[in-house]
Amino acid sequence: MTIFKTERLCETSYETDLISMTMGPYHASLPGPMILRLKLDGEMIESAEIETGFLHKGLEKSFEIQNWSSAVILADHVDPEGSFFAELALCSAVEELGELELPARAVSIRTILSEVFRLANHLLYFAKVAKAARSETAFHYVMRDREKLLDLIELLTGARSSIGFLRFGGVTADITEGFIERVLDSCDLLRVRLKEYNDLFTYNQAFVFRASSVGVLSRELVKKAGITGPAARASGLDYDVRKKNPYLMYSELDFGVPLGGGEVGTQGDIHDRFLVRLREIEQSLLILKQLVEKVPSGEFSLFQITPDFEVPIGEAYARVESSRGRLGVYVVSSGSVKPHRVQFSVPSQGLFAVVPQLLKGCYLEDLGLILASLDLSVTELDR
Amino acid sequence: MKPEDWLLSWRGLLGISESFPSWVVVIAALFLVHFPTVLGVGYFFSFFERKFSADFHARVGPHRTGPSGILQPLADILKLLQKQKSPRAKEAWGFLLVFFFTLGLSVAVLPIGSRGTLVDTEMSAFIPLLVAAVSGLALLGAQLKMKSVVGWLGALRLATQTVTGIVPALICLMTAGFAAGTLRWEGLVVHQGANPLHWTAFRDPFSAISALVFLVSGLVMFGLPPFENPIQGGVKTGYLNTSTGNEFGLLKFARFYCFFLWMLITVVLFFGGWAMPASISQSLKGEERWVILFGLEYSALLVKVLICMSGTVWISSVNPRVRSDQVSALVWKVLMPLALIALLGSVTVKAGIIWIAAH
Repeated sequence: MTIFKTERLCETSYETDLISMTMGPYHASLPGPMILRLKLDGEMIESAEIETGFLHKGLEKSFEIQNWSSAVILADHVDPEGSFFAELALCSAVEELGELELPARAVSIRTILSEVFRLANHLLYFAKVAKAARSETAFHYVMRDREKLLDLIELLTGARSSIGFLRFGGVTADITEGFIERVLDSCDLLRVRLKEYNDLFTYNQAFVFRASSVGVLSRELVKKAGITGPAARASGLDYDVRKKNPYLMYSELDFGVPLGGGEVGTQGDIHDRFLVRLREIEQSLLILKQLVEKVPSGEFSLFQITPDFEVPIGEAYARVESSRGRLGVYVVSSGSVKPHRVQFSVPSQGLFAVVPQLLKGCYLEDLGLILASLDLSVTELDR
Repeated sequence: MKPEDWLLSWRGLLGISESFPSWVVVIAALFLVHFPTVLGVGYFFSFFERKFSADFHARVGPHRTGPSGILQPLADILKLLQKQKSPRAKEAWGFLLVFFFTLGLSVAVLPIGSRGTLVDTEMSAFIPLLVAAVSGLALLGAQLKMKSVVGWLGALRLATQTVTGIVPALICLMTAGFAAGTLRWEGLVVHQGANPLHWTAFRDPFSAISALVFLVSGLVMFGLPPFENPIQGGVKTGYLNTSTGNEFGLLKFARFYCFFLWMLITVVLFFGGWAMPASISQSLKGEERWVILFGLEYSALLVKVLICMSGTVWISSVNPRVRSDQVSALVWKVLMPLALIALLGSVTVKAGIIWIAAH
């Protein structure tokens, strides 16, 4: 009886509670304003809850109260980092509604810009992951090289991020003299830099220890949550809008779609997601080389957009492959100067949905790296 | 060295006559030489580290405050002194007092020269390890008192690292002491001399391994780069993230001091310490030119310490960070076996040399 009593005492004295920790809405390790409520068992995350909506600005409603002529500028605000992709999706949907045939030169310019933005965003992703892993040198080197791409974007569009460059029926301006040469120079530079990044960071044992078999996103979870983009491809799901539903000039281009294979750990881990992005950078460089060799001559836009621009009655859906995944937009027009409805389907929706499941069972120290590896955007989620 | 010799050289160094009691000499030495030395090196190194790591990052670093940004550390100190202290810090004043007091005590055993060391005994080399253990526990208590989850987790990680890092560090300390036949600072330096080939780290491969393991163990113990996850963590969850104001400034300085302390001890144990060519040191001692002797020895020591610190900053600037449990795994699975192999190897080599000499 005494022994039994002692055992019961021991059990009672070792009873522990979980630690509650709330991060946000502003925290250095979070991708944006959001609240993350964690229950911790020591360093291990037992459960996670997300609360978002802090960046909701009624963007989709704003489309309904502004004219079609302002819609492209509004689309920039879906995701400031990848503003081009939202513009492209919107323009594609409206052009489908209006049955507009774009000039070849405009299509070529859009495709070039699409790949330059993809490169810039992938480099930003690299920098975020390097920062999360506290490799300051890799972070600064990549951001320095990204500046060259932003300079290219500024040369063409006049802005570095929220570009407001596309128009229904084409683009705002033609490519200038020297642009093609600068694109080729940037491609050559990045090809050399990729090797340096691999030596410095990608296969650095410290990063491999942190990233292999951590934050594993299984293929089943990817399908269940509707995740697309590099995060899905890292888990083995072979889906790229540029291949499955080609748009712009992608059907004419020769490029590959890298998939994750658990090279240093498990398929779908942080390192796989990182490697897939690096390999997509290589593919984007390949695409750009093919594009700039054959820029067709001709007009860069069908017509000037005026404030009383109207879109025929109807509805259309367009999707593009943004740097994060499939970005879709559903457009309904009532035939007036204002859109009736514009709804975006963003890649971050699926990614945010899996965050609680992904964080369960991970160390608290890995939280920042896991979130950085998913490339979440609170801006596009909340709109 | 006899206490009266030591006091005599300090009296000469500070210009204090024999009518003043010994404790006045000790207090004067601490406040006129040791503390300003550490503060001065800390100031310079803070600036140097920021510029050095900025070079690795292909950026400029501090450049606005003073010529080339030399006054930036001063600006930071003045800013921190003005910032409001966290109300939670007042709850933990007892533990923080223990923390800073322990660090302050270690200043007395700083090996800064043949006539500059205040306390030089066989136990002096163990004081820094004691400092690491006590300071880690004191921070743990402070963060628990402050009721901060992130600080508590960070301090727990630091305490774990301290406990794991101490063991290989002790073994390597024994290796160095065994090679020199003593653990007194003076004896260690005299045994090595000024010739780099006679330094403990370069005598045989086992001692070289021991030097490396000792250095890395210290970085782990004190939570220094590249093992500073307890300080800031991957999600800004370290004990430093709950501090503000002058408490933050003091903790940052304490962190630098631990870095400086460990590099200093590493240099003395394995890299010849303050040893200068015998002809120079003997003639200065004979002429009782204590100020020049102290200056030269201390300069030689500082150059080596700064080289060690720069190398560490270089490696930590370039590499990512690992998790605390991975650091512990590194210590137990890599550093510990290496330390044991180094100790056994050094003992075998020395026994072999003695046997050969005897026969």
